[in-house]
Amino acid sequence: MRFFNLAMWWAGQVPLLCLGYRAVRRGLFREYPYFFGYLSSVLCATAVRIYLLPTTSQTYFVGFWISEFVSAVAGFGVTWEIYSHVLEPYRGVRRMARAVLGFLLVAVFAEATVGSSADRAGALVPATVELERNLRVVQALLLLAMTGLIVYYAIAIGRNIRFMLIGYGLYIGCAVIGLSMRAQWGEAFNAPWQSIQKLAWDVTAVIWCMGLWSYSGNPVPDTSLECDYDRISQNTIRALGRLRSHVTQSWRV
Amino acid sequence: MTNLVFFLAIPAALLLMLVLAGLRSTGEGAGSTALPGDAEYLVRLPERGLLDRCLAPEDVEFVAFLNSPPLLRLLLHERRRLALAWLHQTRREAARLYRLHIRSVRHAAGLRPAAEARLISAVGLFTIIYVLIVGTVWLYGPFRTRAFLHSLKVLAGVLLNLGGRIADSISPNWIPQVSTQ
Repeated sequence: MRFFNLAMWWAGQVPLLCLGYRAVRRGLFREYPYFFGYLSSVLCATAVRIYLLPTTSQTYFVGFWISEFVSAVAGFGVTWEIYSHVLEPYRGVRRMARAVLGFLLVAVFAEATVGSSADRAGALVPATVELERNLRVVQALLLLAMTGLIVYYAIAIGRNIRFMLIGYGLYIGCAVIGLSMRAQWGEAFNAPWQSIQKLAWDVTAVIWCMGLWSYSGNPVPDTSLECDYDRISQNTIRALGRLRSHVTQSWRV
Repeated sequence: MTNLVFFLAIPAALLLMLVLAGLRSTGEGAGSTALPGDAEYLVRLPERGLLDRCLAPEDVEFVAFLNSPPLLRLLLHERRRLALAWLHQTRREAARLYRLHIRSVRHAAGLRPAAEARLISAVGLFTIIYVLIVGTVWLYGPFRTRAFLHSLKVLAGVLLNLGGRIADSISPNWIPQVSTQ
């Protein structure tokens, strides 16, 4: 079991180290500064945890959760990296994304405010697991909204960003699942949670290593395809209205 | 437990969306780089006459006159199939128009969330009506659907008249007056 855990740990670190090496050689740091900033924070967290070993000590416990929290916050950088690269040439979709993301954040804060006021005062300071889960949930919602817009508007994305998005989305998804179950069932779920977390991280590291091995920028859209939005929008709404009335009218005697 | 379901639904939706994004990004952009021409915005409606012919009562009367239940069943089955095909054609046209819109506006700098929401609600309304009619045709057949919609229209007319007559019969004296002084 100890060997298995060690193998899983190395399986997550080796691709990251390879990626870091490639990024230094190819200058990918300059292209994706927030993403590599996040990776650096993860590697620093790993170094801190190794320094604080053994895992049974109280210092390690505190250090583990602080580094977890810092990594979770740094994860917003990856979301920002994806947002800025994918939507940069699409001004209209960017405005749409801002509206959707703003709405999501307001909804999350409203839910948190209502939830905390209904709860007892002690619940204002949530447990570390719940705090991290909530952070990951916000990130998952942001990624969900952004991926939804990418799929909805069929926006072309390059290899680097595609793998960055898939890898991070997979990791965040698994992290939310693991943390939710950990928050629900407590210490009893600690071992499976850590395995889920490690496995998800290993898969993510491999995906990133494959996708970011060399630079592949986003396809640049043809800006000459600019159109009169109001006219097109009105045309579509009118056409759908005609279609609707055609369907209903045709069934009348 | 509700919380857990909520927290599990979010990653599930995210993973599903990532699969869709992964599938789309491989074939994206092919053949859709140019802006659509004006001709593409024309609504290609399926002919109403086709549906009228499909739902003509004369055919049913004729087959009923032959007194052959299997033949009548076959006619009803075929007419239902034709009516559903007609409806599917309208849905395909709606989907085409919607895709055309998406293809056109993704480059637009003036894209407005409110206008997009209005468009989504228009699509939603069409979908609701479409699903209702398809469901009714599938369950009860096209003839009964038409009769049902006709009776619904008559009933709505009766209720409208009744409402108007009630409103007319209310004397202005019965309505409390608010003093302006």
